[in-house]
Amino acid sequence: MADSLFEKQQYYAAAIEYERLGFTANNNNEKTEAFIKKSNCLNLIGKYEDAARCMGRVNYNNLPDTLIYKAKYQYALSAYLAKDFGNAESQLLQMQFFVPDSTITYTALPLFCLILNEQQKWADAKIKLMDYVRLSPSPQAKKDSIYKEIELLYATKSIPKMKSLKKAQRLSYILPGTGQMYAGYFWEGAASAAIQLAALSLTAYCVYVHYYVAAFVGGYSIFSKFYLGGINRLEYLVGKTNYERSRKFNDIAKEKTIGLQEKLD
Amino acid sequence: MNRFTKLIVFIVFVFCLGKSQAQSDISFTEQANFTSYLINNSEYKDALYVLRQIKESLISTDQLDSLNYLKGWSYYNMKAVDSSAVYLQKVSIASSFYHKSKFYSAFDIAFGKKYSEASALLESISLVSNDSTNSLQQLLNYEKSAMALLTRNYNAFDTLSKNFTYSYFPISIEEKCFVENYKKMKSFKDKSPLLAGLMSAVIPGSGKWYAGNKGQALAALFTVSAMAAATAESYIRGGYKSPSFIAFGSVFTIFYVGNIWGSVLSVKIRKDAFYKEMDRNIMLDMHIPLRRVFN
Repeated sequence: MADSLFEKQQYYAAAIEYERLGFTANNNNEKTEAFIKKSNCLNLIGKYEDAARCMGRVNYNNLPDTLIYKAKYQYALSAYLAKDFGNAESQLLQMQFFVPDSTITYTALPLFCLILNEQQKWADAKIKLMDYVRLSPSPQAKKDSIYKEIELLYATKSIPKMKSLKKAQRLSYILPGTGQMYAGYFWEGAASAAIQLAALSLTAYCVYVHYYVAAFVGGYSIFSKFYLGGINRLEYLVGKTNYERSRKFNDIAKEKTIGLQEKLD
Repeated sequence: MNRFTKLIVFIVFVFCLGKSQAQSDISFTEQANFTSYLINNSEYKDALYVLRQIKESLISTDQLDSLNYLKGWSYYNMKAVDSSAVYLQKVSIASSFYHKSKFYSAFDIAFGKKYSEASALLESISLVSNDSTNSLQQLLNYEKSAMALLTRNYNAFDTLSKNFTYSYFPISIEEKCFVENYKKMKSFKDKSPLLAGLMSAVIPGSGKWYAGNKGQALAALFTVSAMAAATAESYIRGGYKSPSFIAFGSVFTIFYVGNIWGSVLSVKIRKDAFYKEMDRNIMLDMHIPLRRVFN
């Protein structure tokens, strides 16, 4: 019944029936298979967190290696889709620990690479992808051309340069507005610098014409608000720039990784 | 259609009805077991999906009670208290889930701040007086006292709290907490928004100090004083027609009026924050014993 619902693309109903199969299963192997299928159904309807939670219920005691591999892969995939990258990495590390036979686990390496990319561990991601090609049964000539593609993808100049929050803050402490410029927001930095310069000029002018309180209340308070506000905003701006850069690279890397996998298959 | 044909049709109909009823019994038991398994594994959405497949017209009264209980319990675990209350209230007295359902539905309703409705529901709970239900009697008294606190009916709480034994384990600590909360609420003194406003009009920020917000009071005093000083300086140096006096005077007026209005509001905010904190504590103390008694 579960399989027929799956074939009819009634994925939620199928997920429930797979759960029922798990409930009525005679042994842990059958139960695990049912959970994997349920998780797959939930992934197909975009319920990634539920899918990962379902895989979290698998009992790994006395399971054969192939089933541990399948369950851990499904768990990592669901966690990856749910953007829980730390958990996804943890599942694959556990898989490598419990199933030392790399001929079984090597097909999980492209997923491992994607997970590491999302965590900005690009050097490690490259190693995983290289390992995947090395362990695949494809002809050496094909492998060599793919090695070159991976080298090109992860070349130093292609890896996104991340902006440092501390550096941006130091710049803005010394010269207001330069932190925003460094973070990639030139005009915002220029506007902030201009306003702070105007506020300081107003303060100086008020002092010059002996309006001391007005200099403090009017000029200095405006300056300090923009000075400190600008520094506080850097956390958001640097984070946004870094996210956009890594997203751009990871999207390209994802397409290429899937492409490489297809080429090897 | 002749009489014989009618008779045949009737016999076939009765046979089919009986068969489907028998099938539904087996099916319901299986579904109920499966649903309980799903609930135990925190798969509440899946449990509701399964329960919705069960046709109420094909099950017995006992089964309908179980169905309503399972639906209500699933919604409760999903924190959908309104839906939970609707289903739990439908569980009849004949069911073994009756007391649990009634107590939890009263909690669900109270969580939605419908206190009079929750109190009425607690009043309607029927208990059989024997040893095993004596504990439920204590629990009922305790839950009623929670409602008395939530509705600020201190006379009712006085009466109900006289029955506190402080010895029935699931509620013994919470009974003491209720008495503490009761004392705090009774001794809480309302402050006057008018007095707070007047105080801030004389000394900026003093109304907020009076309301208990000392940090905000100092901030208001500093800001309004700075604006007043800048306005005074502009007046002394440029006179009342000078642009700087008009600019600083306008900003000072806004800050000054804002300080008074803020002080008036801070009294109300303080009172609301106090009762919100109390209500949160009471709801928590109302909930924990239910988990202890029924789980």
